[in-house]
Amino acid sequence: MPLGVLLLGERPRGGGYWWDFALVLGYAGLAMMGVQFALTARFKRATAPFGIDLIYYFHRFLATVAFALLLLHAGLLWWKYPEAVGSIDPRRAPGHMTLGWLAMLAFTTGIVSSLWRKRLRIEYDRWRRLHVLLALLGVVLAVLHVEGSGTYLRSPWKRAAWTALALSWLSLAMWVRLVRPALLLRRPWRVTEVRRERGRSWTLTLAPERGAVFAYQPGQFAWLTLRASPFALREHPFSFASSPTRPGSVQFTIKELGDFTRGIGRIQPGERAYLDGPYGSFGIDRHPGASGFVFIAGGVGIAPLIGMLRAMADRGDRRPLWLFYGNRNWERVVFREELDALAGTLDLTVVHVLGEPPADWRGETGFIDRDVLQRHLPSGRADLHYLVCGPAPMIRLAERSLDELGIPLKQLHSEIFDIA
Amino acid sequence: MREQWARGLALATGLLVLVLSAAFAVIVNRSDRRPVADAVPPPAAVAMVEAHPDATAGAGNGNDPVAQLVARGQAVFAQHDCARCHSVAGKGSPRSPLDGVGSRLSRDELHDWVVASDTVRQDLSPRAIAAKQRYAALPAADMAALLAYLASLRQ
Repeated sequence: MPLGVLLLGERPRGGGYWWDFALVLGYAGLAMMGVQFALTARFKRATAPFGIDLIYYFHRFLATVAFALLLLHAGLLWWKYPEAVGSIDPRRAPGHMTLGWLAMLAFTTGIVSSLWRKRLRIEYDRWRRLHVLLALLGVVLAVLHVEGSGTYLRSPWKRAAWTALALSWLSLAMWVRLVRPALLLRRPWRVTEVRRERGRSWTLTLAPERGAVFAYQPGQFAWLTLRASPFALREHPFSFASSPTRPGSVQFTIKELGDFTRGIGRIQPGERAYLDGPYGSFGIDRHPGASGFVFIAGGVGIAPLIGMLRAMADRGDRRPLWLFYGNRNWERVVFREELDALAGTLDLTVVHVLGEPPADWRGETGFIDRDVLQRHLPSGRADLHYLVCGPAPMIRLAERSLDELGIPLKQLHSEIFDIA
Repeated sequence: MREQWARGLALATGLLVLVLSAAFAVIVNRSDRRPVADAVPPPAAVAMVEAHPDATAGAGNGNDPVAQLVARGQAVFAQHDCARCHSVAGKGSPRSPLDGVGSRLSRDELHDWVVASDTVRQDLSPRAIAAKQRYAALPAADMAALLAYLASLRQ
């Protein structure tokens, strides 16, 4: 952490253990907040080895931890040194202290609105705009608060280093929110087809207005903007359901679930779209040495997996494959017919697992648990790679079951739908 | 599983930062146990004062404040939020304690430190100088009371 260097390199006079502890916590907490801009800046290279869902979980937890440190910073000072903190009343307090309190307010609002977004019934797009605004506001106010109080920034070069650090966070935010949307604006896409699928899902086909589709791997995803400017923060992440082996266009299969996806079927061919991608590290191409793959999908979590299956079919891949596919009922099984066809081309075993099976159903029922997996997987199952995609509870169950079946964790790859 | 992993990593980072912060606080306070204050002269000045004990003693004795004046000075001290940067008997910012400042400095020297006059300016941070500017405009009676209060802070 660059922060440690910045802090330990200087020699302010001691002000008592708790005093210095509390002050450093302020710097540390703010620096951790600043790191959030880097975490969410969508650096392809940096996020590639981890997977974007992990990055966003980390963002969420780290920001919460940073917030706790900032609370501790303010709380300790207020509790141990009330006279030094002085009045909260902005008419009496010096400007930099008021800025500090306002930063705290912005961070508090940001954390509360994020952790309890659904409970507070804040619509996703609106929340994202609020989130970006509060994050920027909080960090700018806090940086000014530090510049104003500046206990550890007596020497000019230390102040310069700290200011540079703060500017680097802000420039990251500028990059994500201004520069990249501007780049996207220059590469517009067009919706060429909107097709209804089973289970209240739709497949959107998009083609670039000029030039070729970017290079991507099956299983990756992109941020999709429809009926809005790339600057409007109305983008949503979707996995490619298409395969790069079929060039010229990309496809997304999207289920009517949330605020944005509910209206997905009303999109018309010919509409303009913007795509920021590809991102993500979920997919078969990350594990070229695997002797075979087991796919586990829940509902529309099939989207990235069908892309991989299509790619393997086109490439003439002969490795053994299994697909465990969980759905509520038989009529809602997205890509049901295509999976039958793929099972004929590939060495693919499809195991449908239904929550509410029809009366004459003779296949698996319930959840994709340990027993279901054990019944269909071969004895050499510990050598296979496992790709799991679906809602979080399904992934947790699948991961636990596979762990119990002795599958090494490093062969287990998952991507969670509905991160927010 | 990935969620737990991310949570563990975030918590570990938080703990690491806590430990580093604690270590920082320990190091900073170990390297300088002796409480020093903005209003306390650097070693050279201390040496000078020690070399001329009469001056300090004389100034101190000659201005023995009446309790009323000291009380008013204390009120001026509170009114101008001096505790934001200074502590007295553990109250206020511990960075620059003023305990015993009346034993170490003469009335004139106290005045120099209060208003950041040219003689002490080089020993103050720009921020402290800026903050002290406005005390030069204190009414004479308030200043006298404040100085009396500071002079009463003896060890």
